Amino acid sequence: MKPLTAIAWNTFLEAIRERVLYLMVGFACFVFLASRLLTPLALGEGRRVTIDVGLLGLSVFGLLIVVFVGHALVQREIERGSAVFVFSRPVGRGAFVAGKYLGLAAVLALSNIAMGTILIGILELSGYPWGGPLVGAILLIQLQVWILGAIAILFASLCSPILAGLLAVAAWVIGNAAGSLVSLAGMLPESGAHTVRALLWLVPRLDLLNATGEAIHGHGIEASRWLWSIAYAALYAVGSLLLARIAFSRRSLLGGG
Amino acid sequence: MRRALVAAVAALLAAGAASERLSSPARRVEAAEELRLFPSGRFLETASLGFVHAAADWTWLTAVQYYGRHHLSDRDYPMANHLFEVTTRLDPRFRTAYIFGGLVLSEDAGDLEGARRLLASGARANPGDWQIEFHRGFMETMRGDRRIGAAQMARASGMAGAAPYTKRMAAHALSKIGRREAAIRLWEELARDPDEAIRAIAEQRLADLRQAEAGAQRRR
Repeated sequence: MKPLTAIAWNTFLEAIRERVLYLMVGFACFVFLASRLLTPLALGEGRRVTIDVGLLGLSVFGLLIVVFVGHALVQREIERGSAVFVFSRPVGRGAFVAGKYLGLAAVLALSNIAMGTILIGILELSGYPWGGPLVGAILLIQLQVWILGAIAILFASLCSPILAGLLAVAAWVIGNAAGSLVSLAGMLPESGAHTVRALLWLVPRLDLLNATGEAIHGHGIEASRWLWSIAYAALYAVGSLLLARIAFSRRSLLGGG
Repeated sequence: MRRALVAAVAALLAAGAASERLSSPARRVEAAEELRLFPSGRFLETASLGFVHAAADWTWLTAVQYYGRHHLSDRDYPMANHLFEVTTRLDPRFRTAYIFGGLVLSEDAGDLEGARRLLASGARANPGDWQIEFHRGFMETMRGDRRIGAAQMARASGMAGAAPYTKRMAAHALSKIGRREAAIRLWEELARDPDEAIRAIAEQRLADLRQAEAGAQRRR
């Protein structure tokens, strides 16, 4: 097994052992209960509420998995001393970071597929129609959590696990609310607007990967939006991982960061 | 271990009882008063952290509960307009919110202007939506200007996907305001409907209208 694949596979197995599956059970209960409790109050809008709560849940539970699994990925290896063992073999730090990310990305893909299937199952059970736009919205959330995973690896390479977890949550909040920064830029004087626009290039634009409205109203996602979304997610993730590699290459492997 | 579990359950139950005391009627703020502080759509757009549709759902649920509570008590709806406006600002494609909101405002709250504004914003945000346009016309016919209402219903009946009954209602509304020619055109379309019952009604109405038209021409 090549070093990259071995690191990715071990990260994947470790995440599964971290009881990530419990979070999926939590997601199923959350969406099912929310759907059952809110539908009678929604005056015929039960499908809308179920899709909305389901997609919000996918995003929130995706974040939780990123935080629980991603925040300690690097620190744990250093504390256990396994990092020294890994680097005693012909493994570069770049391969280590990439392997960790691929393992985390695989866990995120598996959990997103599982949670998306649960959501579709609940819609089917309730007799609500669903189709391509909902699947599209779920796939865009997949891109969101892959970006967040890369950011989590970057923070995990830079700082302590708790701080890395908090910063990942902050990235999720800022990323989803970035649309408000666009409105803010329109209200500011020119110099302030330039600063906000520069900030918008820096923060992860998770708001652009949100297609809840399309899923609710049954509008498909255009091919060009797909292409740009995939390109954006790939570039942002690669950029974050390259920074993580730089940060990790400066880090001591003898514990204590 | 067992004792600790019993103690934990007892402590949690006691906490639940304490929360009941805390939310006693004396401390409870009137629901209507609470809604006076209900945030604006603009604020919620920002505060929802990008999850505007979830915020629209929450506002929608609040609006439905608000309507239900007041429908069963004082039948006064001072905050209804605000709640439906916020819901539709957060999701301008929320068709049910426009239609239900329009009905509540015009029929229950007696706020015809508010209903007109809400449905007009719905028509602007959803051009070609026959349901919103039809409800605008229906509301005008029942509560406002019947001429405007008939024209809006006729427009809705010509939109893509419009239900067959819209043509019948529009034709009826047009004949009521004396626009016989326009009504005849709609009834003629309905006379070609595949449903035999609809064809029979349309042919009867056409005969009545043509007779009335001929009478009017003779008088002229």
